[in-house]
Amino acid sequence: MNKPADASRSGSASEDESESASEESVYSGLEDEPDTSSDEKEENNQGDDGDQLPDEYVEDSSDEEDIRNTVGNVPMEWYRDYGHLGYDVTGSKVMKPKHGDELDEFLDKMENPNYWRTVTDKMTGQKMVLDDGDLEMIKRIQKGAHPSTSENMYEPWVDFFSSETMIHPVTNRPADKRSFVPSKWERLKVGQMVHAIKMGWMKRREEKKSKEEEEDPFYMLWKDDEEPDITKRYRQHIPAPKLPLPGHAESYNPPPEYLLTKEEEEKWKEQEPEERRQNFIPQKFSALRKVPAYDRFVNERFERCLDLYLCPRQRKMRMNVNPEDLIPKLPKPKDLQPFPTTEAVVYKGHTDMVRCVCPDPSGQWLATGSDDNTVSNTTVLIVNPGLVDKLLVSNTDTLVMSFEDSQDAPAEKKVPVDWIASDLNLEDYKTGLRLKVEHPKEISQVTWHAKGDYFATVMPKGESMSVLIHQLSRRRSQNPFSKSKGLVQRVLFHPVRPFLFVATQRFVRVYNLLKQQLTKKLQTNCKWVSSMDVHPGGDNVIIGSYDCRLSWFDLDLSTKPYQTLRHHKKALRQVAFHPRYPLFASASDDCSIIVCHGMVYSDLLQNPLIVPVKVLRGHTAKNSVGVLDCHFHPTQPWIFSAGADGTARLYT
Amino acid sequence: MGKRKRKYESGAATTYISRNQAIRKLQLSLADFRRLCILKGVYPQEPLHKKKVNKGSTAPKTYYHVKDIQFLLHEPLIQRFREFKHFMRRLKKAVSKKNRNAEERIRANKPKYKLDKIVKERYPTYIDALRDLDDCLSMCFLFATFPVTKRTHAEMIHLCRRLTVEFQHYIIASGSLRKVFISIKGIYYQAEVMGQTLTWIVPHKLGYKHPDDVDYKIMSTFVDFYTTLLGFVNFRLYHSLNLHYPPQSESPLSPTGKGFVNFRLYHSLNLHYPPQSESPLSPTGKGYVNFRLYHSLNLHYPPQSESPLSPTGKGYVNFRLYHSLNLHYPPQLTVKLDEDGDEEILTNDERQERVEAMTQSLMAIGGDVQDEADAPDEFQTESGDPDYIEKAKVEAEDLKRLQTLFKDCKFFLNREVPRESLTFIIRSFGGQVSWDETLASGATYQESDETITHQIVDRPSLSKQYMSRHYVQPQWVFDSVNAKQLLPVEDYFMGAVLPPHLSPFVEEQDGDYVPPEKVKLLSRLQGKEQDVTEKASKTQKKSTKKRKMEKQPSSPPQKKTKHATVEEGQAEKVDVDKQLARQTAEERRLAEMMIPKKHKRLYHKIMYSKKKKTQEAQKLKEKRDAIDKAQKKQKKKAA
Repeated sequence: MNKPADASRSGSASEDESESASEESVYSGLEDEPDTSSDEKEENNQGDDGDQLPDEYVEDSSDEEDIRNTVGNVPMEWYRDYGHLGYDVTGSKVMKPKHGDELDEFLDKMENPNYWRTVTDKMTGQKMVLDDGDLEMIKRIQKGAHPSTSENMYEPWVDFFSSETMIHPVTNRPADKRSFVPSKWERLKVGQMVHAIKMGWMKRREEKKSKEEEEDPFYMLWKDDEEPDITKRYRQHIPAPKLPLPGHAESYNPPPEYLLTKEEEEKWKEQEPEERRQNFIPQKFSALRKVPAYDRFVNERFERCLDLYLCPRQRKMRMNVNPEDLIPKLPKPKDLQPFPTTEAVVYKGHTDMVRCVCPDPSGQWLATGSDDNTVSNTTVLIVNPGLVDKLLVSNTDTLVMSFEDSQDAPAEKKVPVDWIASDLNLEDYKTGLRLKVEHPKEISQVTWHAKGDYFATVMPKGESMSVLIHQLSRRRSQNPFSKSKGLVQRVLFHPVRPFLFVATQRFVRVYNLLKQQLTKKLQTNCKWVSSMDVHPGGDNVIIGSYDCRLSWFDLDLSTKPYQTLRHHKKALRQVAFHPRYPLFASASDDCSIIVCHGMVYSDLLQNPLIVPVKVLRGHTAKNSVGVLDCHFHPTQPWIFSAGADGTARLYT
Repeated sequence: MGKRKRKYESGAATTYISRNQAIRKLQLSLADFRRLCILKGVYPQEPLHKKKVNKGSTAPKTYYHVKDIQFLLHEPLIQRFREFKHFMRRLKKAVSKKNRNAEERIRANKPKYKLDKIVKERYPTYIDALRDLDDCLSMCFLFATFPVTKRTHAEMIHLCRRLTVEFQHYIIASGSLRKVFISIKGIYYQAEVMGQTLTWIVPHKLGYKHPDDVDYKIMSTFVDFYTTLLGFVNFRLYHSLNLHYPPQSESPLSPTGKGFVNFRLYHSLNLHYPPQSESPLSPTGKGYVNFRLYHSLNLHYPPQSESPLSPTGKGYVNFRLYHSLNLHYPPQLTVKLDEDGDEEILTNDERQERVEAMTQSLMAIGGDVQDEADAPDEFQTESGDPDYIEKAKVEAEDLKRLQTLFKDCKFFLNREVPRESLTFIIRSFGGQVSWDETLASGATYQESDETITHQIVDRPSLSKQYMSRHYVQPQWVFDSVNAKQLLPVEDYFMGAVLPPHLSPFVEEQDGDYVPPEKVKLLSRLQGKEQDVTEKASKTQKKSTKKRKMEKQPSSPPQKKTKHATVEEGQAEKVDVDKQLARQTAEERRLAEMMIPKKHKRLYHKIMYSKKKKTQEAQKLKEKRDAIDKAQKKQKKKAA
């Protein structure tokens, strides 16, 4: 940056002309603006002839202070807050020139005719006036023309190296040797090519092309006598499934029923493309000429291509099963008669749901228990209804009343049960009440032993005393278990042997009452046992559960269910065996009673045969409770049921 | 102590390889890998236990079999791909430098690859190839209809066109077309070739726009392989029939040379059907033409005239042409000289056009094509079982009848009907076909020919009609083929409302909905046209049986018998039926309860699908009934 200053200052005296001229031309752009007018003139002079240089300092007065800022090409706002603008060549500050105030500016504007062409030089802060040349240049730049008027962009083309041969060479340079001696390498290369062509190794391009065109690419690929090389790969190949063949709906003129209705069409349009069963809307055209091109054709082919190479394949065994074969071959219900088939009697009278139903041993009488009368549930009433045989009635009475308190039995275990005999004179006695057995807690079930002397009660809230066994003849109660094993649901006596079945929530325990020990623990595999019954033979137990299952246990076989039947849709409430016929039934909340044929063979090797024979309906649900109890007739193949709808029914 | 066994070092984890791993192993780009997979027929496989393969993760990934990838590892095609990559790089450079010379040179040395080895490898026997030909045919037929664009090269399209025409010629020559079906998507054809059922679809030949959401690169890679496959299959098929492979029309190839019209007239001669040679030769009464025709007839009829040409003299060019076509085939050339000895050179385009017209049979290699009808008979006698033989004989007879379905028909196609598909079908079933000669080349006779039996028209009316022929709509041809007999033309007359066009591919099973038209057709096939109404009513009963069961006893048959005298007795009978049905239904329900848990789900699945099916059938049936009712009402109103 120092140079131009040097050139303009010190070059005035010492440097020779040619040098200064060249320098001038190079650095003229950096000259200060106030000097431009003089520069222009100089340039004009230069254009005339290069030798005769005018004195460039003609108008330059060295007295004038030449302000030259040496800060270089830096943003001038760096000096905004300073008093100076930069430094001159000597290193002293170039001070900002004093500007007048607004008034001065205004006066200047009014008075100075050159005000409009006056601009401020950022580098020096001086004002300078643009001359006509500058204005012209600005105008040309604005127009998008070349800034300089002297430059002609479209000068005539001088064809210097023209096609015309000139007599004299352009240069005087002597020709190279290689320009007149044939190239050795070229000769060798050509020789090679000639040899290759001769030998037929190389072909001309046209020849090659024609040969390719002539050649038919197809030949006998699979020859008859050839043994195909069937590889392992080939054998393990999973062929892509073929596309399904079109149905009637795809026809251009389908039967009218295959066309979609408006709703169907809307539904089709709303579906995702993957969900649609057909990937097209059936259409009907009256003539073949009216059939347009199918616009998804290319897409469909493309999707097939994608399927072929992107879709993972897997070998799947598709079973072609006849559903009839899946149904087990069982004897027909017709051959397994008798069993209850039709609803014969509906016993109405209760206003609330009938909880339990029980026929008397002769089958002539039926007792039902309902929710409509509130009874204290903590007492077992032993009632002699006196309905049947007179002899039987009196015998029963004598048996019940023949008790003599022998006082000698010491109370080893205190069982908080009170036996209250009914007085002969009391009103209750006449109605049949004989004994009261008061329990401390609510009783959920009472069950009799087959002999009739013992009965057991279940107090679910009794904890360790939840099961109590009572002896009628001695009016004694005992607690067989010292510790509770869970919430007891049901207890049952074995019909023949001295066993007691105790069903807790998930297990059924079989106790030997003589030995006083646990003999078996049946695993029911269900969540909550609701009911239980023992086959009259004593070796089979059925269990109903609230999770819709009925499990059949063969006690000789295993502690796990021999068969689990899930025939009901809702919780099972009661299961019952028929005392004579090979039948059992289950009552459920889905208002149905399913009667099954359950044949137990005396041959130990033969498994029981279980065949559902009838679904009995009739009850209606109330508060989502259906049939609460069912009980077979003691002698006939009939069944009594008690429902939540306040009725009891007899099916025969 | 043995080596310690670690997890995921054997078994499923090592038999499968993920796609990215495979690409890394092969050192290919994804696009190249895909192309390689398409050409080599390598597909991803779904492992049985994804967790075992992906080291315990169940992230969705595609897996290839390790053996497949190892098999790809030694593929020479990979090298070709690399060469092509280099070629593209060099070409790009030359193009960007505007070095035309280099560009031309590089282009001339464009690397090419052949796929014949791959075809052989993928299909060791040609039966395998035939088995996989469905997609191949559909794609080739699609590409044959494409316009030439940047993405679909002209050569590929021409090759597809050529190969598909060749294939159609084979089907015609072998008479193996079985079923045809016009759908809204295109026309389906089903043929039986060498015991394999091939089905393909040809789009309707109309302008359609190219969809943008389709990758043409992938499609053309497929077509690349498919054309190779189809070419070799064609070659093999042609040789099985003793036909020349690049197909040649049976007629002498050197026409008069005095213009195209003459040449066409010449072809109206039916020279290739010796039994039909008695038919009036040409309806044109021009003496000049006739003269030439007869001359040519005299010359070409005797087989002695088929003499091979020496590559000298005027025949040289022709010889050269044929030679170029028949280069690899048996040396017998059936080039014939015109009577003047000044034979004409057919341009390749004309030749191609004529082959594409499909009106003529193809030239056989050693003279006549063998009659293949005898072959199966001999074969069947070996199998011993008389019933089987009897059955097979009946089948063969049926087949023969089908193949000669249009034997006595002579068709003329109006210009508005799809010419190619109809020609293909009619010729496949032994018919003769022609069209207006100004429409396309290959027309063999003119509209004025009095022997024409059927003219296929697809317009409401025609000003000039001949009495000697039936004017039918194109659907008649399709329906006749599917019915395997010539249907009565009355339903298909010009301007008539067409009966529904049914799919021949549907084989209805028990419980499926059968449209009444199909019922009618089936009964017609059995030759019991009288029983049509009975059958229809029977099927109706069948399908309504279920509904009847649940409905009240006042079922439609009862209503019908209102006029009958014995009402009570019938009602009782129905009751018994109902009871019985109810009982069986209940028995079934009870038996269903006892299905073991193992099979329960499967059983319910099957029953569910069955139920859905019957529901759908029921829906269709109801719809149809409603439509029929409405139509009847309208008719009554009109009357």
